[in-house]
Amino acid sequence: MAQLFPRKANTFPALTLFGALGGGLLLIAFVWYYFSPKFYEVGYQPTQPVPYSHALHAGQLGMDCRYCHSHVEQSPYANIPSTQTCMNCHGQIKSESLALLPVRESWATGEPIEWVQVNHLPDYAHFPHANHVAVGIGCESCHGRIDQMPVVYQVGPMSMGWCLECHRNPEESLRDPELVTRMGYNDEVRETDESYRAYLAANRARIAAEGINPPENCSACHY
Amino acid sequence: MIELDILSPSDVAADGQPTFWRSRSDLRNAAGHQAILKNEFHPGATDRSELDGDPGPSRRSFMKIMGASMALAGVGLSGCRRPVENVLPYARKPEEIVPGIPNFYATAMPMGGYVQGLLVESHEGRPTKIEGNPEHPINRGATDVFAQASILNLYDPDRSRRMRRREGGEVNWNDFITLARTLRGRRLVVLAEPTSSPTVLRLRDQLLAANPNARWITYRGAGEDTVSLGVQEAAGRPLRPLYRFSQAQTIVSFDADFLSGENAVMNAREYAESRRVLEPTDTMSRLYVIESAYTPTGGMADHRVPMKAGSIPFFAAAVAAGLGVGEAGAAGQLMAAHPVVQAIVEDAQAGTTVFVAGPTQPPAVQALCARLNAQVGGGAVQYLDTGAEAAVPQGLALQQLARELGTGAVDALVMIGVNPVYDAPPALRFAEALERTPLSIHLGPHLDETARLATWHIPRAHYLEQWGDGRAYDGTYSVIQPVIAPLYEDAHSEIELLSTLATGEVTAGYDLVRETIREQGLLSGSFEDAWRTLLHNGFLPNTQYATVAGGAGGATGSLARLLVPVEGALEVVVRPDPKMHDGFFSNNAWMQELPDPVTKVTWDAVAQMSAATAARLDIDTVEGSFEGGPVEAGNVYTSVVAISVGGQTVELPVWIQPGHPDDSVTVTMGFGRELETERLIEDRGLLARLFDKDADVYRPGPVANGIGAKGNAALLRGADGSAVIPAAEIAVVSDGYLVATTQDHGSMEGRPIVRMATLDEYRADEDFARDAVEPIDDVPWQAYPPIWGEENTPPADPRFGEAMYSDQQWGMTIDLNACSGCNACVVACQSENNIMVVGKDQVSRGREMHWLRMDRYYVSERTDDPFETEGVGEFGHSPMMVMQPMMCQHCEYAPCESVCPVAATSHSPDGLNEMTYNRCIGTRYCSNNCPYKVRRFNFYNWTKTLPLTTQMAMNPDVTVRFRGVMEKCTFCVQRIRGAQHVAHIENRGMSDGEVQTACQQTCPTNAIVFGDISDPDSRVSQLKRNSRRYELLEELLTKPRLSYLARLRNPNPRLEAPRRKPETVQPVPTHDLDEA
Repeated sequence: MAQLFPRKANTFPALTLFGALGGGLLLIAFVWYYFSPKFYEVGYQPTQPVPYSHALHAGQLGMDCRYCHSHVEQSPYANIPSTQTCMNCHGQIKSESLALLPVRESWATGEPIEWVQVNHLPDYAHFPHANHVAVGIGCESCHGRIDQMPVVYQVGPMSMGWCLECHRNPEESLRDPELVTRMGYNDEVRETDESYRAYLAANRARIAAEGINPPENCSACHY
Repeated sequence: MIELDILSPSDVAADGQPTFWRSRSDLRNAAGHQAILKNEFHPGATDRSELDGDPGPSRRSFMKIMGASMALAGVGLSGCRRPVENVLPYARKPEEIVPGIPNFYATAMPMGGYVQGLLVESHEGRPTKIEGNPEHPINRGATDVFAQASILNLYDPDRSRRMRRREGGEVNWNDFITLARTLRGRRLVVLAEPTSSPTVLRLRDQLLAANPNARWITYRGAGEDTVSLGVQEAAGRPLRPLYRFSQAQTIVSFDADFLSGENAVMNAREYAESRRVLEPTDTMSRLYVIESAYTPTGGMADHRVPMKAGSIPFFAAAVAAGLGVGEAGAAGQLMAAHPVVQAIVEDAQAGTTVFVAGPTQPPAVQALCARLNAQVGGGAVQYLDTGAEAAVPQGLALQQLARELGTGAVDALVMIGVNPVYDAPPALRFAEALERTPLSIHLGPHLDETARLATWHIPRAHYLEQWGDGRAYDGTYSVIQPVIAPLYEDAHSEIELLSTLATGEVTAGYDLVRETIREQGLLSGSFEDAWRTLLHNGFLPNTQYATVAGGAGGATGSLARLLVPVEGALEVVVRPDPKMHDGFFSNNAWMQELPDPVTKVTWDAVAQMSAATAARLDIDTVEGSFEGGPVEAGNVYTSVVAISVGGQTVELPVWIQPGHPDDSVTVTMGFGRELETERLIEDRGLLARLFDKDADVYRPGPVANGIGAKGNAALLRGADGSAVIPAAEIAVVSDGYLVATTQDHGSMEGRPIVRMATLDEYRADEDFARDAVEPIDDVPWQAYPPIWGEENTPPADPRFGEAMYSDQQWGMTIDLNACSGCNACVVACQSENNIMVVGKDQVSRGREMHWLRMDRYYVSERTDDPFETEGVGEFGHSPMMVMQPMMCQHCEYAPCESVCPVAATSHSPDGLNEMTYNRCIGTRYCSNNCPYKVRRFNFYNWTKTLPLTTQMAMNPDVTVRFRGVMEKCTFCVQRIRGAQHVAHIENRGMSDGEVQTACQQTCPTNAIVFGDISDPDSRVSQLKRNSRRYELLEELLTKPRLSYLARLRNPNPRLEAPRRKPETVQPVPTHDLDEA
């Protein structure tokens, strides 16, 4: 009787084993990367009802973030500006622009403009903007170079690990509270190794002097 | 690990010593009761296979379907799309609103003819929480349970939404204006709820002046206002008694539940003040309660005499005669020998004594109390001149009205905030009379019994939606300002309606209120400035009613007309319900689920009676079956009885109430409602139901419907509306009715959970509370190394040192001597923390979600006979009652934290036992390991199908929990973090009292104190140094952050033989200290 399986079939079990192992590892790697906020959150760039350009307003015109996000120093939420804020200028400037039609419509009817939220935190996580601004965490640290974004997209993964990275090493993100809205500051201090070392040293001194100690316990944010 | 034996009260107390028990089955250690003691989750609570009848899917079937659907979902990954969330900013932002920061508005809640001063928390224009106005002279920051629950009335999905005409067809407000103009000069009767509103009274006068044929009748659904009538009888004019209990040495209550009835907030605060003992040298008042039902006030009494309501007048007469007021009469002379009568007389002669008579007592007794207060009250009772017209018994006025309605002598009837078809005495045949009335207009919040028969119904605006005004109990003028626009366009306030009736024109409520203020000259200086100040403060200071000099003492009403109760006749007493009131809160799910303060019954009306009376009615009360029925896994099955009076019958389940007088039955109003709803109840698909039980209580229709279906107690009242019916027939109808009660839930097996002593015992041994627990191996508990010692300084522990981000260490004390169990904190917690309502079926499975529960213990001297221990009989002794608010103790060595496999519950650096919902995977290990049984598990997704309006009541600062997640008291961590954020932004430290938990905030007696225990000067630290302080189950060395202050009693030594010291109440537990 002829051999049912050729001799080389002896390698099949080993191949299957390694294949399964490798496949499993690949699957884990796949899930690890693609199912993480780093992959599916970062870069989210929805289309907004009004083609508002931060690059124009915050970048080219140099408007301060707080002109529109006016309550960021008081409230947990950095408010989206009301239509009124838009109309402060656009009542006179570009008052007939087609792109601004939804804004004028909202102003006329009193119905809000339905902006699409870009940076989203789950409801069980409470993030107070005002406290971060007060202590001197720059807007760009979480939201990136808004002044270079014609259409805003998500920069940070907004995951808990990402939050904790900063909470564990606050000296890498602190700045003078006067400068929170300054874009590009993070790059400025990192320009040379020397400037970065000086920046870290200054921050460490400030942390020690002011007793800055970002919380890492659960109920600091989850309640 | 330390393990304690399972005990029952019968194991704990020796004969003649006090025993603490939760229920009759607890006292007797009934079969089935052990299961509740041993298990954190009731048998059947975790899987339906153990107990049938749960309409939800079983765990097994759920897993099957879930697995299959996961597989299907995995094929397409259809669920993996990011949901698009929109942000909607204001078009024109109101100046005062900062998104994310709540605003607080001062307003007032009218109820029962006076208002309470409130602050309302509003999130971007959506009111979410009621708090007492801290500056208001009556409320001083506190509220009663009704004010706390009233926010849910605003979001009641079954509120009537549209104006309606009986003959059909669309109607709107303009049609009503046209109608109002046709009513000029017609014979018009306004049947209105009692009100203190100057604007309503002004419009009333305007209406009556414009239409001489109009009449105004005030109608209280809760029953006759015997207090007003009685004081009027004594003084010759209407006066209102204001009790300053804090000045009293002795307080005597004749069936008056003053701690939860009218003006309860102030009464409770004043009463607690009179009992505030911080040092052994402090004095406390003595409270005698003679009552016909067990009420929270009776629970606070030093001496309580259960007595039929019909006999109490003679008891009062005997007391009065002893003090030289009036004649005792024949029946009173029989009472004169009662030892309590003699004790009261003796105490009243010794010092300031306040007499209070409740609404069940006839005007003659009220008048007698007014006389007594004038004689021995020493100014502790003030009589206020409210300026009201002389009161007429409403029974007479109603009888006349019903006659006229029937004969066509009335052209139009306007009903404002009343529901006479539901609660008027049935002998008046109000429904028939109403149907014969050509025009009837009903203004009310629901399409209720009256609304459906009236020819017109107008939805009533909630008080948070309307302008208005009113006077507080002491007369303080308060403004009602709207916090939200009416949810339904057709909703109108009573002043808008009255103004339209009076003038035929439409005037805004805002203008009407300002007009009143202008007319009455209430504001001085610039009107606009003063008006804005008034709106800011919510009230006008120094606008109290004038006090009448010399009190109300005058003529004494004659008791001669009162009939002595017939021996053996079954008396029925109809009371407003402590939760439903007169039915106004019937459709409030929080109130339905709230355990009754005494019976702990939820979602049901019961007829309370004593065990002896139940035995007389052949209701089985033999050993082994209790509370009127057998106890099975914490459930109580009882008999249903038919109570018949004068041809009217109501059917109610029996509740055997320890300490209830014999031959008397207590029934409460507010049940047996029939509401119609305009809410569209969508049918859920089969798949949806398979996945998710119909968990929400709103799904079957209005929550009030079907609760106590044949149990409308108002039907039993006589034609004159009297609350006490001297003789009724009672017969058993059926057996085996399930009553969902929480009285045994979370029982801690008879350990010294509640500690109490008499004032004398306390003076003799200041540390009685501490000594109540036996030391292990002669080492006292205090000697074990504390994390937080007596000195309250942070430990030099590296585990804490680095991670400390705030200097505060949170802690709480609860003074059991002040807590009367009024339940305001329970509802405040529910409102603040988005706690879900689960319904009767789920409560009976022990799945209620209350984070803060009010444990009620009976206390009596143990004897061999359980019936004797329980206390039966009119002259027999009554068991005492102790209330204990129970919530998470925030242990330093928390047993829950060490068993969580996913670290979902952990310890925060500021001492909170934190619960992280998003980490929780629902193993329930923590709950099983919690010795205090305070953790609550979401067995279902209670929120998924909630009506949209009800979802609006949610607090946005607190996560709404999902199915399969554990939850518990957080010490209102959202308030702590909020205050810390503000302090951080303002770059300052925190002051004591800056964070108030919801329960503390609303507590009328200031029993709950919360604060920073690392600050030695904070109020909580000071109280923690009090010698009455103790921690629960301290022998487990869990080191709770929550301490209790032991209860004190002040019995009359004449009535009470000195007891042995309440020590050694438990045997030495088995233990193993190696790991402790």
